[in-house]
Amino acid sequence: MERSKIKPLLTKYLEGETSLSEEKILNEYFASGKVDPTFEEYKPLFNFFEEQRKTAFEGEVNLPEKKSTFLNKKYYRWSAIAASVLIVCSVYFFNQKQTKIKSTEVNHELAMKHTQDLLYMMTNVMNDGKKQLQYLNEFNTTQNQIIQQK
Amino acid sequence: MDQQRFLEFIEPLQDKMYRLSVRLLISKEAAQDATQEVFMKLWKLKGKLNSYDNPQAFAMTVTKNYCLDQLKLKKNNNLRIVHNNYEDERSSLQKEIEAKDELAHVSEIIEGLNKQEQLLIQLRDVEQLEYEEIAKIAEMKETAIRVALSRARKKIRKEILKKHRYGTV
Repeated sequence: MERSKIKPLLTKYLEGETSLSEEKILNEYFASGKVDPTFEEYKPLFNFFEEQRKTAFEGEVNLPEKKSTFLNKKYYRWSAIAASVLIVCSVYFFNQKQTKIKSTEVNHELAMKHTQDLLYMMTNVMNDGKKQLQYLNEFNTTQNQIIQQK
Repeated sequence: MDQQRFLEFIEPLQDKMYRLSVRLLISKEAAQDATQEVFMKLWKLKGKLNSYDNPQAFAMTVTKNYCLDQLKLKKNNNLRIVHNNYEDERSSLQKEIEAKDELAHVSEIIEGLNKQEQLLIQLRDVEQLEYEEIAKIAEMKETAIRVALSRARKKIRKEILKKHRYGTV
């Protein structure tokens, strides 16, 4: 690149009036290695810019929140589904239990009669047993006799 | 914007964002952290990103503001000289050292500029962005950018010339 062409570009550059394409011409010129000694001071400058462009971000793009929100969204969705299933199931079970209770209520009077009969039977048996225990009084009478003799 | 699209959006930008952070914060570690923080900020804004007329410029603005905030908070007290590998396989060792030295010198000069000038040099001369875009990122008017950039470029040239003359005498 001719010196006559670069010089005005450099003056424009210093004034901040060069366009991007003109700055590219300058970049290429100073990267070429065949730099006119009169422009020597610009060489490190343009080389520096060139070098800077090579710097890359070495880390990884860590979005820890990305994962959690991603999971959370799924989590919420699934927990909503699970909750609704649970509600439906519990309503179903509850209804079933209620119907069972109703069915026992229908037999309630009968059950009462049965238990009453059972209790009557129990008392009869108890009374029978109690009668048989009357013999035990004999012990008492004999015991009393012995005590009186003494 | 889902995760995949966000990563695609960030991919071409991440180096620019990182370089801008290094330029403003100097420490590479701080710049790395800053870039990561800005990713997080952008990720939180992912729903709105596309509503900006220039999401790329917006990402750069967020980076710039975040770095300047960091500097204001003086969180970044550990100033470290950036070390870059200025390798040129063709040049001899002596030349290589000289070249490295020269580039390190330019780096020092730029570090000596004020933050606004550094920002503009970074965006224009390193990232080669259009003035229109720089105006959005730096939140400045184009004419003001040109003036500040011109001043910065002249300062750098002056400093390089100083060094050159010392070297030759």
